[in-house]
Amino acid sequence: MSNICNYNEILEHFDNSKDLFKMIFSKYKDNSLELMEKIKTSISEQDIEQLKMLAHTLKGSTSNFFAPELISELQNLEIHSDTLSIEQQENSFQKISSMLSELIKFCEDKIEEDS
Amino acid sequence: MTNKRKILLVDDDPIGSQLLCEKLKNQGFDITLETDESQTREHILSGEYSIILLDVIFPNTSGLTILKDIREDFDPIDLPVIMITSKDKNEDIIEALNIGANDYLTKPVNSFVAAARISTQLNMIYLNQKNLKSAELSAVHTMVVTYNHEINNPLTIALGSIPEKPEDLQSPKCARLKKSLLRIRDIVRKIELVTSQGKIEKQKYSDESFFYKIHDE
Repeated sequence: MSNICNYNEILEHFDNSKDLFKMIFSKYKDNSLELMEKIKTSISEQDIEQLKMLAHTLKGSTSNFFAPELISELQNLEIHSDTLSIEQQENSFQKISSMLSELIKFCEDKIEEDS
Repeated sequence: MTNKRKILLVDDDPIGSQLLCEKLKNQGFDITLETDESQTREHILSGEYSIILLDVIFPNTSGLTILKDIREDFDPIDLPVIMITSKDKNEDIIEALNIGANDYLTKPVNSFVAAARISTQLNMIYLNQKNLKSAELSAVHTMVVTYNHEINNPLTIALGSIPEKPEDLQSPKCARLKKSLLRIRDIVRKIELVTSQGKIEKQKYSDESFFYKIHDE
């Protein structure tokens, strides 16, 4: 049992439709990986406004998958990125990346189980 | 009241917005998703949509700015806007309501709450249109009663001016005149009767014109 998210809550949010979950998750996976690349770039270029916006967008998408710690870390990056040092931003990015991988793996396993 | 009015969802988050779209479609709503906020005005000007669901934060602008633009042209009762905000952004909710948002939803959006709030706004539109129609019919009723009264006065004078002597009435011209005036008086009485007891109903004549039908109960 993973602690990254609450699968029952996710299913309920998707009206208990595993097809809908599969369809939206597939889009989320592609979209979130693309956003992570952009977040990485905005940290390296220190484009703080862009970093805040990307973290906000990823937080919004992730809220559909009920992963509280990941959402909290994204919110931390969104709100505090202008006061965090580059190292702290990179640490936050690493944490987000690791939790996102865990969430994606969890969802893929669930889809695999159901197929 | 049906859900068959068109809804526009403007949200740059492709995940949450698509999920909300799918769930609202499953509940019978006709909803279009626009992830590019710069297209919002074009969609609104098309006149296709009865209600807008609008995210607060976009990469290049704010949903509150878009809302301000909408409110310059449309009253909340003509085009309701429901804002979509993050749970932790109470200040956005307050500002949106002050600018003229009709309601708000928080992310992740619960589709049943969204459906209930959309239906409330659609019902408000329906009731407002019903009230406007009723006021319009009432104005027509008043106009008909007034003009009928205005016709009646000169008609009475004209009827009183017809010679009463049998020899004068033998003239075919005079007889026709009296017959015509009596016929007009009859119409005036009928109008008086239906406007005091009957109903006026607005009916469509063509795409752009209407007629008013007066009939008894």
